[in-house]
Amino acid sequence: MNPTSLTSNTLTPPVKSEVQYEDVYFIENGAKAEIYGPIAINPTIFQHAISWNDTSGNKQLKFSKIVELDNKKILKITTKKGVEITLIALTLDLFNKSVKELVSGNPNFKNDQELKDYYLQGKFLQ
Amino acid sequence: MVSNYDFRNLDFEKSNSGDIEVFDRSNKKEPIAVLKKISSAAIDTLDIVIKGDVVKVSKSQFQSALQAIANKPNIDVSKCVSNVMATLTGQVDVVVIGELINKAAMPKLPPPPPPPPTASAANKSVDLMTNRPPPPPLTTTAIAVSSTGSVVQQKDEANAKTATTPFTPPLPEIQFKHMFPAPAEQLWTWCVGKYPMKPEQFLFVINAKADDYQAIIKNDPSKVNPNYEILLHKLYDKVAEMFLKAGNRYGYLDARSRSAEMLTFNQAHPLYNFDQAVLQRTDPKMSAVGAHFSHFDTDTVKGHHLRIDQRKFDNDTHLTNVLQFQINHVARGKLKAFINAIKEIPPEILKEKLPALLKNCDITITEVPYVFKGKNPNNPSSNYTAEHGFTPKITGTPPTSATIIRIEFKGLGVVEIGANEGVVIFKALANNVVASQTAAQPPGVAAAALQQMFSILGLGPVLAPSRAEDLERSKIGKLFHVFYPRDSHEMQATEEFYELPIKDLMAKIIAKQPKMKDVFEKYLKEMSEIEVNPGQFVWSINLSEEMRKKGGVGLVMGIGAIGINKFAPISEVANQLISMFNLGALSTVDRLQTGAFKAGLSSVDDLVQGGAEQVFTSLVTQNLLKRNISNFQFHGTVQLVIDLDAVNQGCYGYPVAIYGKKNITDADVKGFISENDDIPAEATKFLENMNNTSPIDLVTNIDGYAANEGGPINNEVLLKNRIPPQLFRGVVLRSENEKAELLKILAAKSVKVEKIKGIDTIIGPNGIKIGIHVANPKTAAFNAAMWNKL
Repeated sequence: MNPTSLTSNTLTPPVKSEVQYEDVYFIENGAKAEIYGPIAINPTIFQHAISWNDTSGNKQLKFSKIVELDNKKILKITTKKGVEITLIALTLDLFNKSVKELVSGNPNFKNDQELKDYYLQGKFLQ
Repeated sequence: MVSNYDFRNLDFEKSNSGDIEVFDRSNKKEPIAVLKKISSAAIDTLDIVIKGDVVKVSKSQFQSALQAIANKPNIDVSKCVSNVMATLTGQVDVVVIGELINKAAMPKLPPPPPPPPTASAANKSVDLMTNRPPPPPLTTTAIAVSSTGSVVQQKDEANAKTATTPFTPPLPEIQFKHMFPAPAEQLWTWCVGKYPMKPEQFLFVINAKADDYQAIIKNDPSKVNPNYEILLHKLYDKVAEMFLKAGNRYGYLDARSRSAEMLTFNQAHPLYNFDQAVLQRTDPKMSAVGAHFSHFDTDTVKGHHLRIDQRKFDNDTHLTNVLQFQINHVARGKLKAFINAIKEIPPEILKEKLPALLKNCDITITEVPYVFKGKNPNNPSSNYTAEHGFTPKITGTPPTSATIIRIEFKGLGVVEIGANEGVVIFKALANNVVASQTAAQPPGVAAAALQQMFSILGLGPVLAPSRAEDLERSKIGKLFHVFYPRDSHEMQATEEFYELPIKDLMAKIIAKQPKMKDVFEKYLKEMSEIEVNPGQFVWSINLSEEMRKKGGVGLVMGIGAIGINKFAPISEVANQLISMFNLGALSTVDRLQTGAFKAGLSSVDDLVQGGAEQVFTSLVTQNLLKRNISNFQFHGTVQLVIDLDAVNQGCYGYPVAIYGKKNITDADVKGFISENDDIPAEATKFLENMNNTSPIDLVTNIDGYAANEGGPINNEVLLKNRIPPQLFRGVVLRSENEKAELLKILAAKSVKVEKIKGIDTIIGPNGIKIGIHVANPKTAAFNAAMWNKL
């Protein structure tokens, strides 16, 4: 499903039709970390879980609530365990400020598009 | 409590009143003892107050020694301590308040306890290595201190029987007169049996045996006996732990220093010519995976496996040897105390007491970020730098880095040990040890110096070739671990798992899990070693045959997924694929250790969870051949098809993805089932024992779970470190167009493709053959023929 067809709202499980956000997000942990990596590629919600890929594999979380904000640029997830995680659509500014030091090789990107292509086209693969 | 207090830890200062105040070097704010009436010629006894306890010491024992101190306005601490020692003990090596061994005069012992049950046979044997005659009668003399420190009184021949011992040990204490003539093997049996022994007596005995042995091999180098050297090293390790338990850091250091010099690195040693050995073992086509050496160490190094790279770092023009290995949980658990003991020893004493190759070396211990140094991806000949590397960090403000304990032996080398404490523990790194030293050392020196560093830190005889019994133990351990992972983990967390004689260990395992009797009978004799990296051998168990009987077909690995049903283009995936034909399928940790990774990677979840040392695959069964490929949650742009024989190197797995977590408890399983209450009960029952299931039973559970759960197939089968490319059987592409594109890329990279049995087949390095298949994931299933060997 195209995310633009979603209205800004709160999702609760079970989500019967797959919802996929075609973007790369920065993962901001709350006080208690449940996910440790900083990058979520193409998050997808289906039934009771939200999943995404990072550069090494697929991650999946059971959720109790997901709130879409700012035209789905921000996804506030409350996991089934009650842990809060926020996904923020990655921009170059946000990457340089919060992600660059967390990933290998401290890569530089010229603009948002190059950054997004890097992760959304799988250019990080060896 | 002052039991076993070591005099060399004391510092002396003269107070305004003329008394001598005694300080512990670690805390000079408050004196722990005051020496009275030093200058009086009429005194008969001295009252020494040590940490609240009164010690009565005879004038004859103390006066002359302390007089020298009392008369000095500026006290030379080391001198007065040595004076006290010398006068009290007659120049013995180790001085402890407690029973003192005096070589010069040895009064009678109190009656010995009954011999321990395991001692009888060994008592009859002869110590062939030392052939030492019975020692002169042993005496205890000087000062007795109770084990609780509550009562301290003088003890000599006349009143030895009055010494108070408020603690009754559960086993009879091994006395010196039994200890001294016992062979080293017997001493080890007593250690393992945890019979009480006085560490200073024990050290004395081991020193005597080591001295005798070293005298023998000095005269005749052909008499070098590596197994005996290992035994002596391990005895020193034991006595070091005894000293540590008794709070005696100097005894601890003495034992560690002697252990460090126990191993002989002569021409027969596989790492004698270190650089040449590494060079010979490194495959130039896959130098990034380093040189691998198996069959080292006794019980600390996991898999008896060392990985050694020679690399240039930062702006260096010289090569550095980088040796990496993993240690078991028991060894890792002890290290903190060992490192703390080193930290607490005053640097001037530490430097002086270090073994020969480390002598007078400054040691600094710090905790620093864990850095996998990397190469510039655009310049393969560049040096390894942190700039192009990766430090695993957890998101947060500020981010939390993985850290290492860095022990630098200035000018000689560095040993780094993954940190195992903190807000978040990176489980996959906590047991990792990395040692580095400048390459091009003279023959024998590189390995010997590294070994001395390991010995001082309490890592044991890491660079000693494993003994037959060590390899036998690892076989038994592997079988237990593969068939009953939870039971095995519980036992492998205990010291006795690594110390019990093999027969006793097997009996203990069978007592814990009776079905292991059949497993031992069936598999133990037929186990052989297979090579998973050039030079890295692991025990192979014929699991695949039984798994096939249960319906197992093979393993698959999706490459190029970037989300659910989102895939990277074949142009991006092809490079990774070609790299895998050379390097094999590597775990996250192994990939990071190559230092040849692309920028932008963020692999931390599996480093924290612990699955990062594993290669993730999914199992395809006969039943799952009926499901389309898109039902496999981890399918990718390309599916890599792997022979089921890969599991024979040992593996574990689950019917459902849990990120390769290891050592999960029953409570973890219950927690997982409780959290995933949307899973039908009929499927859940195939998860209930998933932490204690063999790969053979896993086939049944995967089928049962998939049949009853109905959702995506997300089973995981995990193999440690690497799957060699020789086990790759095929690649499955999503369309003929993508196949054509792959063929074009392969041709451009000069990768040969031939038609074999009607199938386009990639001819990889060393003649490996990988069939190219096409199957639309949405409409087609895997086919058993894809696993055929071409």
